[in-house]
Amino acid sequence: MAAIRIENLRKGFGSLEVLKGINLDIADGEFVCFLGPSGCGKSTLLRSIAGLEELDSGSIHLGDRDITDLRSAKRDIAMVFQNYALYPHMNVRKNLSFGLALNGMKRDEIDRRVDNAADILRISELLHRKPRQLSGGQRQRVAIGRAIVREPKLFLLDEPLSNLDAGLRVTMRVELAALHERLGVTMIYVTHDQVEAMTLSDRVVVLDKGKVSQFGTPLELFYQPANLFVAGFIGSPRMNFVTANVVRQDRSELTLSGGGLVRDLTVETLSSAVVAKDKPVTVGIRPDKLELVSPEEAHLVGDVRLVERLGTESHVHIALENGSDMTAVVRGTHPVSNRERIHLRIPPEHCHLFDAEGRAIARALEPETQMLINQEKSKRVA
Amino acid sequence: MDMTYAGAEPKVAKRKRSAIARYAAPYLFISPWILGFLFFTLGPLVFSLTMSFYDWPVVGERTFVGLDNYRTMMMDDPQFWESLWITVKFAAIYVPFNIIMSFFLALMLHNITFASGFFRTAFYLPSVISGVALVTIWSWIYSKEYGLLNFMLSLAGIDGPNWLGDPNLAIVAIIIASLWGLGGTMLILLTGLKAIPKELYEAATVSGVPGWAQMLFITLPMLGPMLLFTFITSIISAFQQLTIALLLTKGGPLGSTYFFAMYIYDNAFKYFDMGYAAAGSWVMFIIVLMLSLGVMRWSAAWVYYEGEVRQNDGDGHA
Repeated sequence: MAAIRIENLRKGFGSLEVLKGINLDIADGEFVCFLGPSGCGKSTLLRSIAGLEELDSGSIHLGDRDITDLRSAKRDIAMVFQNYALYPHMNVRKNLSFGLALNGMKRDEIDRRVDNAADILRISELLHRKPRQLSGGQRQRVAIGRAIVREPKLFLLDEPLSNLDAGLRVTMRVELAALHERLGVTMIYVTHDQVEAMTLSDRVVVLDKGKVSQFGTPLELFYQPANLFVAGFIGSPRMNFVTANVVRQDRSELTLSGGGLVRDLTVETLSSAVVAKDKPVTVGIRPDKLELVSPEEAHLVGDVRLVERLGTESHVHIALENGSDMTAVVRGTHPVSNRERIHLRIPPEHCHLFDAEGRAIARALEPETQMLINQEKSKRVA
Repeated sequence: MDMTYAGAEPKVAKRKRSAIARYAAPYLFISPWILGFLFFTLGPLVFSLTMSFYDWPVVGERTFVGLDNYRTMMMDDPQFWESLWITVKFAAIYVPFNIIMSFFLALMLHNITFASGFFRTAFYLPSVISGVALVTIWSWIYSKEYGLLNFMLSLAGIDGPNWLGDPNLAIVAIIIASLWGLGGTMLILLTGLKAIPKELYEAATVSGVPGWAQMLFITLPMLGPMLLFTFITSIISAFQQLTIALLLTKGGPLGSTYFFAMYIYDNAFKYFDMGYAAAGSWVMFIIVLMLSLGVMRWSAAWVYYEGEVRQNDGDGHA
């Protein structure tokens, strides 16, 4: 078993507290991404699991073993570094076998593991080369190979694709997913790239300022963000936000008005009781869900500042009348142009609501979205 | 149209001028160095080589003697071999000690976090002190009656020896005094240590590579070019050892610190035999050159350059 349990983990550097009480339960064989902006503590968290950082408090369990105070080498983990960390003076074979040889492993076993890893990663013909004779993708494979030969219970990957160009990143992403499928080992992957996180992970840990903002499946994060931070961080272009006040509350139905809205918006919630009348709420709407409508149907009015034509779709940047900015995604050939007055409708079934503290107000999802999320969850459990 | 045509000729001339200026400019910029090199390095080098084939007294007629100076030196002058042997002995002890001590000092400075700037400066300072000042300090340290070293030994109940008066200890005293200026070597190695990516050690730590193996298989190979450089410059400075011995022991006692450089110095400025001294200089040059080439060749086995692709490493870039 290589499930990981992290309890109340805290870590600071001097007076700066980087990790502020992290609690996580990662299942055996799961692929989990730590996602967040620069400085959120994701790399520090990974390094803490690796034993490269001394904890201030808290504990880490790998399977049924408490590894909090164990040396890195004794944790049964392997780590892939952002800049590969290959030994430049050793050829690929030596890079792969270096740690094994010094741990007293027999020559035959080392050769078997190295050849097996080289075979999996298709680097057999590169074993005699020095790292500088390899391309970025090949170096990355060698770095992953060095982790594979250890046959660890847990793989830790610290932004392993960030030094590769866009095309190679996509290829390596697919290969990493296939590798996880093949090895079936628990993997923790640090990234600031949400596309990597969403495509690779079983579940994603979104970190914000040293705290877990949300821990869920990729679709959960996208369709049921727990708070404003996750809602704004996941999705590209990012979610639009507009403030409004609750003017009417009828059981599970909220009517919102004022703020950035030019027309009342009525939405269904699962827990309307948590928002009192006249309290401010933030309405979130994904750019592709905004609808361009006639003035009579519009919830929002603004002027087009810029149209980015991307082919299949166009991104329309809008300055609302109340001064805030918004982005709408329309079809690529939509005739909208700069400085044009634009009227937008927020479809109530697609909007997200957040209370004054930024917490999500629960809403029912569309049946097929809910089904997809359930499928994702059941796949993870299986 | 006329105006355009009228302007064409000066433009061509200007282009020609600028082409000459373009080619000449780099040479003009480095000309001060080239002139300095020609007059103060290459000139004296060629001059000293010519001199070495002459019987060249400072005052009086010079006579061409061919290879006589070299032959006499090697066949009929026991002092040549004695001074060379003393220099080799000195180099054999000084060079490894200089590198090993510099390496461990650099390692300590690399790892300390408290007042690292102060310690770096403190260890480097001695290497910028002039030779004469350094000798003045060390002659006091080594003084039999009033010296700091013997005073310290007396605190431990040891009757300190006559450091500079004992033929067996004098060379040791000079080695210690020379090692006092290892700050330069230390600084080069410290720079090398700082340039090693810490991820290499972290990757090794996660892989269970013990500390001694990280030192042996990561630190030392990664420092290879710096170690090679300090190795060669240490050999050169060991063979050029003059100031400390000349001022501290004057070659004594009983010629035990009579270095090869002092032998050349005496022939030139004591016996005024410039041709013979020049021949001695060329012998030293050839010895140092051969040693350096030997070390360079040997280094191919243990020095790795990041920008280097060796033939047997593979078939080039991917």
